[in-house]
Amino acid sequence: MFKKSSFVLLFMALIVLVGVQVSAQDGMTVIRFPITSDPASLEPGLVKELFSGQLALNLHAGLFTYDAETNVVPYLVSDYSVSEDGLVYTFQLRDDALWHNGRPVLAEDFKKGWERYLDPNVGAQTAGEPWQNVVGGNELYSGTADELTGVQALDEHTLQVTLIQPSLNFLQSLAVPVMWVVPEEAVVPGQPEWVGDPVGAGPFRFVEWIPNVKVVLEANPDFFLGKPAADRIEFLVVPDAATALAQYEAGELDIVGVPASDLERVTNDATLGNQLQYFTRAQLQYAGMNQSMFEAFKDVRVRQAFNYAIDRNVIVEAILNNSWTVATGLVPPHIPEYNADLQGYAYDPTKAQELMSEAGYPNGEGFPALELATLNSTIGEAVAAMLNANLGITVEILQPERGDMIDGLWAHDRWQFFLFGWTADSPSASVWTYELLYCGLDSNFSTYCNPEVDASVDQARNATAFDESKQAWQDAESLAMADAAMIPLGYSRFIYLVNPAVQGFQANLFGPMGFETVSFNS
Amino acid sequence: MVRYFLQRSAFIIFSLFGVTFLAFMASRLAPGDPLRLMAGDQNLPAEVIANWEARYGLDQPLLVQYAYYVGNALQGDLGTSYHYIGTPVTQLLGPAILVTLKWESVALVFAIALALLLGTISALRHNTWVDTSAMTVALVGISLPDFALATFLIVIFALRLDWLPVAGYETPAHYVLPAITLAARPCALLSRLVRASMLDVLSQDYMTTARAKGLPERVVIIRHGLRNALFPVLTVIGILIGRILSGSFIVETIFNIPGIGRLGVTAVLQRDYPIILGATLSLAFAFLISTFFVDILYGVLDPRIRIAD
Repeated sequence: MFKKSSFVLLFMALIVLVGVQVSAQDGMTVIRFPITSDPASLEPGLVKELFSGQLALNLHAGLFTYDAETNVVPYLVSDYSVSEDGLVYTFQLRDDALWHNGRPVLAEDFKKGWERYLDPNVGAQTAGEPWQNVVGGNELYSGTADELTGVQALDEHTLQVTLIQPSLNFLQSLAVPVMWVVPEEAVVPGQPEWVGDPVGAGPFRFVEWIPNVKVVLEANPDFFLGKPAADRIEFLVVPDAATALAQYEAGELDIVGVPASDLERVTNDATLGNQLQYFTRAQLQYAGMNQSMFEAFKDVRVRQAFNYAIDRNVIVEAILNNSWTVATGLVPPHIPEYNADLQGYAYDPTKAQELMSEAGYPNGEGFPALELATLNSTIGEAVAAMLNANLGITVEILQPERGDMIDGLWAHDRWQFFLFGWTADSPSASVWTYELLYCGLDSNFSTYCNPEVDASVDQARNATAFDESKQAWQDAESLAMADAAMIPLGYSRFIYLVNPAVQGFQANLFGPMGFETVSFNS
Repeated sequence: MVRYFLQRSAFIIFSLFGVTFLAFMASRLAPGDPLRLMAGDQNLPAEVIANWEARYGLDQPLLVQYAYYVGNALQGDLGTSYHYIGTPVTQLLGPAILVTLKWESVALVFAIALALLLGTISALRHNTWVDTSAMTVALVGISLPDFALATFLIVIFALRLDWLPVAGYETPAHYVLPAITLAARPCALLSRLVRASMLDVLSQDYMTTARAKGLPERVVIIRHGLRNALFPVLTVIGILIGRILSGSFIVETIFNIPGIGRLGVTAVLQRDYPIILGATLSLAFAFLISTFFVDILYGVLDPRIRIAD
């Protein structure tokens, strides 16, 4: 039965099956960039994680965008004006912008696109928040109207948006891909979510998406700012960070994110060390003290003692190899309302012990057992060890699965003490000082409440002049820091290895920018 | 024969029901909510969550959900993925299964062929240095975990020597390191088994008879020796196929092969229930079918076990 010839045949069959499929990339410049999972969607309105966002920046275009310094700059808009009362925005759209299907981008496309995002069945990420301030937004979202009355196309290239109240952040919200739209004809009829080939107006056009493998884009020759230098971008799905790094080292990828655990080796490597690029990220890493779950956290002295008892330098330098910078406040650097004068809490175990004694827990005596929930057990262990050594209290580490962790945070009733990161979707102090601390807000995971802080936040949110608003944000932040509302630990950074032949790779506070500025210099 | 075939088919179908039921319940009882992950870190309005729950049938009792799943699965519809919004599971599973079949069949053939060779030679050169060194290599192979061997191979052959690519699946060269990684343990195990079985067979009377008939040694060893020695080995091969399939989870993740294993791992992390179930179902099916074929092979190798009606 098992003759030699059958073995040979089987082998030959296998070799044919395996096939030879070397992808010929004759003379094309291809930038290969890894993503840890497939984008959930290629539609800008459904962006909900870093990679969908990154693809959206390459495929799509909106009225405004963010530049490398995270300033809002006009994109599809050539000119705009705001009425004196700050309520009516009139946008003049560029007349040379085309969708990838060749049709001009019209003002009407934005009206229809936004109306579609307000259909709860679409599951658009913006549904709600930015629309609460646009005339007719709430009515359309709740189903009591069928038109977004506050948005009108005055002619082919003129779009008018009417707000309910003046807002300093309205243009910022238009610069985020979730507020960019797609042409109506690209939406598959009868399917609320769009699953057809993506059509945008961005610098790159869609070529193919092989789920689990890669998303391929090619330069859009008709891009309104000129054809990008790179011919193709391949976003390769590589779930394992160590594999991606090894692939970069072997020349199989052109740009790769560096995990904190490899940073020391990479930095000390003679070749790789020179290819490292650091970019500031708008993300605060903090420890939250949930007051509704843990009575002792209602005492400001306990909260301050915790702040003094944690050595942030050890965490940032020894554990994270400087992939974060030490946090001195709530708002990360490069955010317009960043306060460089804040000192934060220095590491001071003696002061921490005094505060604990004053609060009635000398050497931690009588302090109830505390649970710390974290997704990163290494940092969790360090924090627990420092609190134990300096305050004499026992902290048990919980390591929930990510979805479970987030569920518990939103519900406010699972985690007494937690480590979490809060990332900006717009460059505004509001992301941290309002979202994480305002009384009764769902995203206030610490259930912190201080009417004084809230008063400053209200003042900042209602301000019509930037300087006034900035001052109020900084006041609120200083108050919250003095009150030890949370334990800010660090500000994250984006750290990439970039092939020396790749020029013009940029990231702003939100992550890598579109690849239209990237070229290959071989 | 027909009756046996029907019996086995019924058994396979029954097992598949059991597997899907367990996987279905386990994935839903595990902590973590797919809608939460779909929403990113945002707190979605209750109406949106309710809408989504209704669309994916997550608002129904678990048993009703399971009944729907089975009903649709019988019509070839495994549902749509949660992560890849709107994409049918079958569209994702199909290509992944093909990729896994391709590279794992290389690993399997490699493991079996090498094990037969090493095991037979060791038995024939019993208690010589050849035997000792072959079995030492096998021992190392059994003891070394997949991820350690994979890292070792990548560092030596891809990064230091630059002979082979680190990861991917486009060319045959991409299959070499993952196939070796996956084949190492089964090959080591199997070669020890072949050796033991062969030693046993070599001392049988019919071997002496075969030689006495004047058959050439090659024919004696292959037709009379190996064929009989393969018998206990075959049972283990059936089980090994199952182990190789499940081994694909780690190896495919390390070598970034977009097969069923990696798809499954990603789906678990994303709480993508329909894909988790689809992947489990395909692996269980492959395992059951492979043991079925092994049973049939018994009959081919030994006419005494041919199934009678």
